[in-house]
Amino acid sequence: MRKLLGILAIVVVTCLCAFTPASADDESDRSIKEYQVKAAFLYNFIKFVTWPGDHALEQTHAANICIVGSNPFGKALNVFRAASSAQLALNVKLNVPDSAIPSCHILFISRSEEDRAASLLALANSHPLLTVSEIKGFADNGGIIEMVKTEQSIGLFSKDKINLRINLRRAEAEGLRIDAQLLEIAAEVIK
Amino acid sequence: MRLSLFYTLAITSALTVLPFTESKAEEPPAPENANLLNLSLQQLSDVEVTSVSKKAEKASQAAAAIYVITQEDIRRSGLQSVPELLRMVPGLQVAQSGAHNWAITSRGFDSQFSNKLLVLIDGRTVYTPVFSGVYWDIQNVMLEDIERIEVIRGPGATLWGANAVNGVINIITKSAKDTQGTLITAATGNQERVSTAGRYGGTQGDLAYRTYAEYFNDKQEHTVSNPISGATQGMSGKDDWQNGQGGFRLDWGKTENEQATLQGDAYEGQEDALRFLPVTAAVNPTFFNIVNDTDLVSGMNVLGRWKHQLKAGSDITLQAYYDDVNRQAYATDNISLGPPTSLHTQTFDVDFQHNLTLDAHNEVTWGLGYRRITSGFGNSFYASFTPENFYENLFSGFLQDKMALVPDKLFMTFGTKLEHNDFSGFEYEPSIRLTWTPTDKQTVWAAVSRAVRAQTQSDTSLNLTLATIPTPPPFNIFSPSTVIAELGSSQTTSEDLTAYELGYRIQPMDNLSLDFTAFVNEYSHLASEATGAPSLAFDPIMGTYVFAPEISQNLNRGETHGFEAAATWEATKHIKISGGYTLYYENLHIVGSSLVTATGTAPKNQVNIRSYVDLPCNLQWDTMFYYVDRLPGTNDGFGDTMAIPAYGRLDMRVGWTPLQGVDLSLIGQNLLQSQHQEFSPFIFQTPEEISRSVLGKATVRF
Repeated sequence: MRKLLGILAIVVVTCLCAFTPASADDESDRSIKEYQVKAAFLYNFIKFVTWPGDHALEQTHAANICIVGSNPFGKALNVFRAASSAQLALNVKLNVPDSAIPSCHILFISRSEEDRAASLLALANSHPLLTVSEIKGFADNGGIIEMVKTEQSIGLFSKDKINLRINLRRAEAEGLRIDAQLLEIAAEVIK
Repeated sequence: MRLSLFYTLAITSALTVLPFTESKAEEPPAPENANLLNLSLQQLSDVEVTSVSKKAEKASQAAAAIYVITQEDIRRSGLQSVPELLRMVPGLQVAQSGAHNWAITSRGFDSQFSNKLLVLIDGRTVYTPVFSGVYWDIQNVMLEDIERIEVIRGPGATLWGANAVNGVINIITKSAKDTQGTLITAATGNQERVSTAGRYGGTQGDLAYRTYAEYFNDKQEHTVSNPISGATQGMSGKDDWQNGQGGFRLDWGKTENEQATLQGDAYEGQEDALRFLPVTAAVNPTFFNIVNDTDLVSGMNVLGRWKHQLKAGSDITLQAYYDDVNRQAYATDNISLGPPTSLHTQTFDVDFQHNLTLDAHNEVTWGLGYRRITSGFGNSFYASFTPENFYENLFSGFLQDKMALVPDKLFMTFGTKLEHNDFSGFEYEPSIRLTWTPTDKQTVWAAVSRAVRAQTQSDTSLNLTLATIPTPPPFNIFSPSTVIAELGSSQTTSEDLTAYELGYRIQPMDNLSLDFTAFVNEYSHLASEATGAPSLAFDPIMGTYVFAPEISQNLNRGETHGFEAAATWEATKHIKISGGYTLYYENLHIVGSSLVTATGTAPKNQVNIRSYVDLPCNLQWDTMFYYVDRLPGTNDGFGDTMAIPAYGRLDMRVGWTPLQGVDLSLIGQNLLQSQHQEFSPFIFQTPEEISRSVLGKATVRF
């Protein structure tokens, strides 16, 4: 009976060698950090959201991305400097004081500000800006886009992904228009 | 012939994965920070992210045959109890013998007294130390509060100790943080079963709590025929079963490394059964009495656990629990055959575990445990222990090291459990495992382990009446009645297993997962029985009788081998298909069968296929099909072989969510046949068939 296991072992190893690709993307692509992906999402929001009136990007030629509270992105924010251009400057502002909030296009509320998220939203919601956060329940409590880390599993294999919950009703109340393509990939759209 | 089938399967399964060469189109492009900006929105939301410091072992890289029953499986299968949920796990054999009796085992040796499977609920062992088996009728966990059920087939003895010979089932309930608000369920069906449950959860700062209560009342009957006359008239196989249970859970802790839990349950229930009790000719010349029995069950448990991080890479867990189980059987008609058989077991257990990352290449886990079991038995003519009351101390320790031979690719885990129990003294259970992960989407693992099924009170001192027969001449001058009984002996030893396992797991595409395992088990010192010298005995009610013992020994041995496969395929966003296949062969050398060691008690082939389909308008349509091969060797409770034919089972569920928070389901089970039998009857029970059933369930959350 041990022969059986031996044979199975040889078969398994043979077929593994047959198609284990020697490609380079096996190891390094597993370590994509969470905040690199979240930063990429913020960049995409600029592309897929339209701000009204004076705030429109065609008028200002600059998009202001403001982060309130501690900065979880770290070096991932460097992408904005690289992607900045003359037509559209991408300005990242850290530790934004409450007074500067009206000038923001995207306001990212950090988890460190969870206790005062409600008051921040009250202040932000009188201006047409896109509020984004990782705080659980953000999209239900007055925020517009909530970034959620979800686990997708199949059998015993699982991977964590970033999904979005978008409160469309809140966005429309601010005069913001969210492109259909962004709404389509959202895990949940609250109308 | 069976060997070539085995080879064929092994090769076929290996070949099915050859076509799934990883196509570059499906992989996310090689990432640089800037490249992420070039991804489409869809691609971005599909990218796998890793957290900065999380180093938890991935389930897909485990070096064991693991299957996980998820909360989705629980909800969409339409099944209403834990034993039923286990049917979908490859490698397990589940057979319902009666209204509240299940024979469940892993990799062979299925019996009322299946004793090679360890079952835990949130870390609390739920098998009875009396025969190291599980009373499934008292494991009524509220299904909506189960997070997942992890089933590991094969010896888990290194970590879990003796009795985790062929598997470990770990039922894990949700943290109180995940069961907030109110939930109420109610269900009823054609089996005249009514069940209801309610749970409320809340938080107070960092503390989350929940409390629940559940109750069900089954009124069932099955047809029974008189074994002498064959008549069915006037024979009511009443199977009424009612049970109420309630409990609570408190969870405290903000971070994953600093947590505390306190939980407890209490239950009380009543089960009716029609029993054919063997009696001497002095009581009834037919040698058996038909008795309406009622079993009363009750119990409670409380468990506390604390997890604390000492420093980075080093954390400890301390757990303690107390478990109290009471069972009592007594006759409800006026036939008094002596004192009721009763069992009262109290278990106290303390466990300590330390996980330590020693260096870049070694992750060490070690632990210590102590368990004290006190058991009181009410002896009767049918079952008696000598002495009636006993206690047992169990000391255990384990040590395990996971070594990275090639960082991130090849790991070797070796370790052992060392136990001391009052029957067999010291037992050691070592294991060595290799894990190779050539890519993130494939794992190959192999293991060699030793496991032991330690003796229990049943092996050493139980006197269990099996049958009464007319005394054959010339001995009938002493007494017309002979009682055949199983008799424990202090000469018994523990059963031994050496297991060789090989497994392969692959996710060839984003929406498909395949898992294969093959095993060879070599057993020695399996429980056996040998006819002993008869003697004359006396009982106040039964009178004088010839006592013919079958003495417990450990002379059986043998080899079993098999293959298990599981697959999950998300065909579309709305259709998910899962399946499992189990192949099992046994080659046992039986000197004398025992209640557990017998051939032909587990099926050769088992298949299950399940589909979960989401339809528009918040409808769900779920179909489950199971096939179980015949059981040639089960016996009918009177000592004669009674083969159980193969059967197919079809379950269907239609679910509808009319409003948010309200779920309605219509569930049909065993739809293919009006009745079918799955297993031989439990001791003194009458053969029973499982019927087709339909039930409706409503769940409200707010």
